[in-house]
Amino acid sequence: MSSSRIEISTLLVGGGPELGDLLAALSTRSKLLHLTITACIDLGPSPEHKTLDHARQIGVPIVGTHLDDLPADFRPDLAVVTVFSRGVVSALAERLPSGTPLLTADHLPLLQGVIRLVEENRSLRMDSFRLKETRLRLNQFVETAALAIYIKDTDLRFKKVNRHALRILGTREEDLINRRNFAVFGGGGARWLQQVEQETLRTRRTLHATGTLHIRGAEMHVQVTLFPIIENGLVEGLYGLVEDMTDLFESEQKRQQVDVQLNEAQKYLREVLANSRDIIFLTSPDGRVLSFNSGAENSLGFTSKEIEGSPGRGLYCDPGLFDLMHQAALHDRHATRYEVDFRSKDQHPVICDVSMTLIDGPDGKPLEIVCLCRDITTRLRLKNDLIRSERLAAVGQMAAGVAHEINNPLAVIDTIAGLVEETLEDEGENLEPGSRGLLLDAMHRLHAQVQRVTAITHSLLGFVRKAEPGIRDIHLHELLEECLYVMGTEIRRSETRVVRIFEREIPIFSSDPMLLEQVFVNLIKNALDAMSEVPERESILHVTTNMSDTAVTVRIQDNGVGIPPEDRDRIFDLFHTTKPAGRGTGLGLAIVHDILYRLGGAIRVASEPGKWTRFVVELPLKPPAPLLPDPSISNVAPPRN
Amino acid sequence: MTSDKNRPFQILIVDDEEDLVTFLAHRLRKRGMEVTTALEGTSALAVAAKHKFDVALVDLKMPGIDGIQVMEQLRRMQPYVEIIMLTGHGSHDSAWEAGRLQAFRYLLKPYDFDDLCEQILTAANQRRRRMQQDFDSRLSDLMSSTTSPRDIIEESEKLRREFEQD
Repeated sequence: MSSSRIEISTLLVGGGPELGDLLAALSTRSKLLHLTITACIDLGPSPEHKTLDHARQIGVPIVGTHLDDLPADFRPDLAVVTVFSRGVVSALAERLPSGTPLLTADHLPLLQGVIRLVEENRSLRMDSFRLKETRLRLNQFVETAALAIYIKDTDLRFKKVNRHALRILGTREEDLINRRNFAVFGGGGARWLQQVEQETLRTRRTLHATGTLHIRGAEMHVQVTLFPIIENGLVEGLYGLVEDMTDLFESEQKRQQVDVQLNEAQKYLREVLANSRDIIFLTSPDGRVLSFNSGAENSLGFTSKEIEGSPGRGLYCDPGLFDLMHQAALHDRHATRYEVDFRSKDQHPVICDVSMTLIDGPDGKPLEIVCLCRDITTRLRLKNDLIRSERLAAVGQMAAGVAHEINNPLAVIDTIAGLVEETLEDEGENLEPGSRGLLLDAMHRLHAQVQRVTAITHSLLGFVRKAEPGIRDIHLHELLEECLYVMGTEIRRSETRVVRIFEREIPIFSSDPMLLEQVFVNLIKNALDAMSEVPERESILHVTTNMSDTAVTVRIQDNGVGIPPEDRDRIFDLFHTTKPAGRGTGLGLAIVHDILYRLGGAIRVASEPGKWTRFVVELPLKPPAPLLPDPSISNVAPPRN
Repeated sequence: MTSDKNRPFQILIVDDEEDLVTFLAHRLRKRGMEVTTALEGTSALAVAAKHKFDVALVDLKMPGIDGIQVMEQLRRMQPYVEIIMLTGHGSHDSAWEAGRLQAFRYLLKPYDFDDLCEQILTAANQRRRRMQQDFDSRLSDLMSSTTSPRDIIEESEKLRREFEQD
């Protein structure tokens, strides 16, 4: 826009709406047109003088309503007449100095055209100004951006590069101009960039690519954006924007590496959890089981489907203990208990050492509790067996010593009782029949009592062990039949039905037949005693045999009184008996347990009080070698032939 | 065999339990046996040097020489005597020892008296049967090996005397 302004003083002459419109149009654009409306004459007859009011508002001096109102020396640069009266035009021409340009109503469209042109010109000038501004800013941006920016021609020679690019390349602009990629970058990267640039020129499209450039001996991971420069439909070259992604790339690489490691660790952990032989389950803070591993499935017999979602307390025999531990874990982050009884599907005892650990979620709130449970049932059983056996051996050894001392006087008592009895029978006719009968009865009873004590002392002597069991081949079914035969009288007397469920084929295995006979006879005797209250002919003795790869199992089950749960742990203890006085010595099961321990076998008991009791004897197909050490052996082994 | 088949069985009881010895002897005598008693091994062997027994009841555990030693020596002195070991101690090891030295039976005290009597009779009868068999075979050996009738008579007379002592 020109700085030297020439103002054109303009006189407006008209009337009615036409004058108003022109006035409005010219006054608002007066600056554009370089017009100053210096006077205005309204010839219109409008009584409202709206035009005049408007003119007054915008500061245009209204000279009057008649040409005569014009001052005599009034000399406008231009006069505009909006009325079509020739009279008015010629009258005005006479009043104005000659040569004053006069635009009549005929010229109005022209004037409007001028106004439009001026307006268009003005907006064009505005655009060019803005463009200049934008260019300036763009240049500023290009020079200061932390982006390498360059321009290349169609030969892909550098034509312009920004400061950032020079800094990265460590070179001056003049050393770079007109060079190509291969003179600037290392081989592989240069070739890659060249290809992308060629592609941009060929396709005339903006392309993005990521790759590696070798700059000053270092690798730079970059992302490039290439714009083709198109002028008049011809490709003139391209703009290149290069962003250094090395840090991002490396951190991304590291992140991926960490991700891989994390994944592996998670996978490993999952594998460990899933395949551990230990019982491992997760619970939610409210005690529900979230997951249940295969170790738990194996040990407890439940499937994860059955357990997941149910309360964890249901896995404990004592749910209150679970609650206690769970609360402790939530509160102290950790809880440990030893020898916790678990519930298993088939009701067999599972005892575990349990440790619960609280795991926090990402939000720092309790997420879940990991319950690690080590099944120590077998170890505990072996430990208990050993303790029991040692205790039995010690007590038994002592008891056997005592028994010996008792046996001698018992023998004397019995011999004397027998003598008195015989004498009464043979020579007692001198006695009063009443007293003779009484004495005879007394001697019978004395004899019976001696027999009772004898049963105990003789059983006790069973604890004095041979150095080694006599291992021989055993036909299990023959052995069982032998035992049933030995107990035949009592079985018949109690009218017990014997049901044999024998495995089709039990291989011959090695064990001590004498000791095993003692085991089974004791168990059968026990079963018969347990069924003594069962109505006649209703007592049933089940003898079942099974075989696995490593062991044979014999189950001896009665339908007698059963064993209350509180007694089950003690039935193998020495002198523990639930039988009425005079019936049990409390030795049978202790001996059975002891023998099986020495033979490498085991015995378990299951029972429903009032309904049944089942003893399960497990025998290894091969005897343990070497035989379990026998802490009771103190004598020297007998000489061999 | 020339021994009188109706001669009462000769029984030796060796036990340090005096009451037992006394009353057991009494009851066995009532069953028609001839019973000699000893309260320890040495005197038992002294008696055995002079007197032959059918059956000896020997306690296993005694002060001085124990039942096993008594059995060994007795067996040497009287090859045909049957020995029943009596003990209050149920050691398998001593039972094995007794078996090795061929005790006829091994009974735990307190024994059943009727059972004991039965064992004694069985043992005594077995002893006499064994002696008869041995006598017969020795005699038949003698008959086949010696040609002179006079030798046969002499030798058989010696054999008879040897067995008669038992």
